Amino acid sequence: MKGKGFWYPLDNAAKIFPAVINDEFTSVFRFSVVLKHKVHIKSLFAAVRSIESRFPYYKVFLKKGFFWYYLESARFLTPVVVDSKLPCRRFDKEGPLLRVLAGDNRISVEFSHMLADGGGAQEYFKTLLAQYFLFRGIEVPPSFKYKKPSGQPDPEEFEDAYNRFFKENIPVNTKRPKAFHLPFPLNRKPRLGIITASVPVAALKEKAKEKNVNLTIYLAAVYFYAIQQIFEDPGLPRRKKKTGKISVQIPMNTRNLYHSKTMRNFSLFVMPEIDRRLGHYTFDEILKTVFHQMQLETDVKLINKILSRNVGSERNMIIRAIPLFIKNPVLRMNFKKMGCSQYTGVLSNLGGVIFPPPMAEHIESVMVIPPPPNKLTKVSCGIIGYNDQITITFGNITCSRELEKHFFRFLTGENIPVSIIYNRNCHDEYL
Amino acid sequence: MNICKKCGVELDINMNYCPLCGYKTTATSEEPLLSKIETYDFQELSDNQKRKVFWDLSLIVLLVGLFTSTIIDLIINKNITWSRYTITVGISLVIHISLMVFLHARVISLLISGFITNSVLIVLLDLMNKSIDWAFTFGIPLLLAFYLVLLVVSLIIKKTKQKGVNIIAYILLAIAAAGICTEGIMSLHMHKTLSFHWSLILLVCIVAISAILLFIHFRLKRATDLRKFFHI
Repeated sequence: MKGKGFWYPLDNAAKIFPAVINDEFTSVFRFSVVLKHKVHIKSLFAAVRSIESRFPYYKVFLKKGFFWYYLESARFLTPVVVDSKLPCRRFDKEGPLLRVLAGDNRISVEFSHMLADGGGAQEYFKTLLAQYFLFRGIEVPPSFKYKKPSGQPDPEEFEDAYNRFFKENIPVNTKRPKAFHLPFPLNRKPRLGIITASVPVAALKEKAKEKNVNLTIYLAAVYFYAIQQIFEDPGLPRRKKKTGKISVQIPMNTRNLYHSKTMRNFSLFVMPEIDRRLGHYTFDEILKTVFHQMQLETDVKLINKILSRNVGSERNMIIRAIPLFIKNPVLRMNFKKMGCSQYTGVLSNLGGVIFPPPMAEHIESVMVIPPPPNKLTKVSCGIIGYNDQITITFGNITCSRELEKHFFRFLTGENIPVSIIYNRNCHDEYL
Repeated sequence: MNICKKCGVELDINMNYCPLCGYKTTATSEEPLLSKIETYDFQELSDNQKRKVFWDLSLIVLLVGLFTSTIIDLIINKNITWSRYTITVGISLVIHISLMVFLHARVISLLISGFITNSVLIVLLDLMNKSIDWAFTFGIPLLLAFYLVLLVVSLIIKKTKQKGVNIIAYILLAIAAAGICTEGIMSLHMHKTLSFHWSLILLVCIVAISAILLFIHFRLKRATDLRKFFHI
């Protein structure tokens, strides 16, 4: 479908990012794998080069149009760089929006959210690893599904699925009230600190099963519970508790509902919430309310409503006809006022990646670092499962680790072993 | 196993440098293979060092020139007569070269300092005729106009990502603007009214040429596909 040079408009989820990104709020997320051997650099380079033609939609750079930004095919090669600096750094203007990083035993891939969401990036990452193992002489069983580099990209992989599934004349979503935000002071720049813990899937599953919920709901409830503990801190000034609404944004892979092969963004968010002004919630109460809200909000009709709200505003002729230099400040203002003020934090569960035995023997752990949080939400959480382990990563731009402490303490209190496998202070590289 | 000491990845046994970080693996210590501290080759100097060498040389040449011209003037005329002009221009050149060497990265500071230096030079040159005739009426206003135009065009060029014939267009437009300012200032002082003649003709011609140059530049630019640029 796409020949040598091509361009495409940013998809609905990506449209906001060029207007709001900066050196701290980079919209860059990372997948990492820690191998049991040192990264063989020649094999990694070969793997990166071999899959470039399979993912042409990621070999693009951002350009400024008169009304909107757009992505244009680029001639540069996917950069492979040393993993020595702070994760999720901003991409250069008019440069690649994807980078592969390596250092010691770790291979990482960083994506700008303008290119793809976790679902698309995960496919790229799996393909990269499969090719790396093949070049390294390690068997990749046929049962392991990935995009074969010899194959041609399906035209559907390029599509803006939001627009395809948009339905007109659906009532828009109502505006939500402001949510409680973590009261901690921000770090000095660069702000992002990372902490990753590994938890056995079996122990978590057992606890979730006891409560008749899935892992996402269980972990979301723990997240809510940890935030509630911060809200209940007697030292917290009253003005910080003006709104008692604690709301967590949980991205969901919309490909499961709408059957699209798109490799670009196609996620929507559900936002379960509790109102702390109604009194203290026990963990079971949180679990119950989150479970029911998730059941309701993931209903196709309600998802349609969210999709229509998002895409509808983009299709509005007046909004479309405003030149970019006017649109950008408005988008920035809207992002702050309408977007991130409505939720307390973000929890992304990327699901599980299963590596079959010959590959798994060489993999120590897999982790995902969510995009750095904005100044309001301050902390974001990314979860990914790998075989029998789940890694939970917090990206935090504040001086406090209270939320992480409450989260992991709750798990250990439930007899779920937690081991910290990665801890990077924001100023580590300057020490 | 051949492991890179810097980034820790495994290299092929025949690789003598890491393709990831460029670290030489054949080196037996952390030190680079060749010490580059003691070098006198001009090519090996950093840009800063090169600028300082240029400054030293220019300073020597100018000071020698100033000294020689003053001595010649003294020998021939037994007094400082014409050499006062070479001294003034020479000192101004020394200041300008020093400004360019030390403030090259700070365009605004460079231009402000340049303007001040040139203003002083103009006043000094005017003073050499025993009275101030033209420095404040023509000299400094014209200089200010030229420097403002220069500042605007420098900032535009600095901000321009893709440099090509568009730079020529910007410079031509700056010349047209300078022409307008020159005629405006001249007419204001000579005829006590603002009137434009030749500078308007210059402006029209230059705008037409610049428009063609800008069109060529933006049309030929790889990115310029009007459909994508104006996609709505």
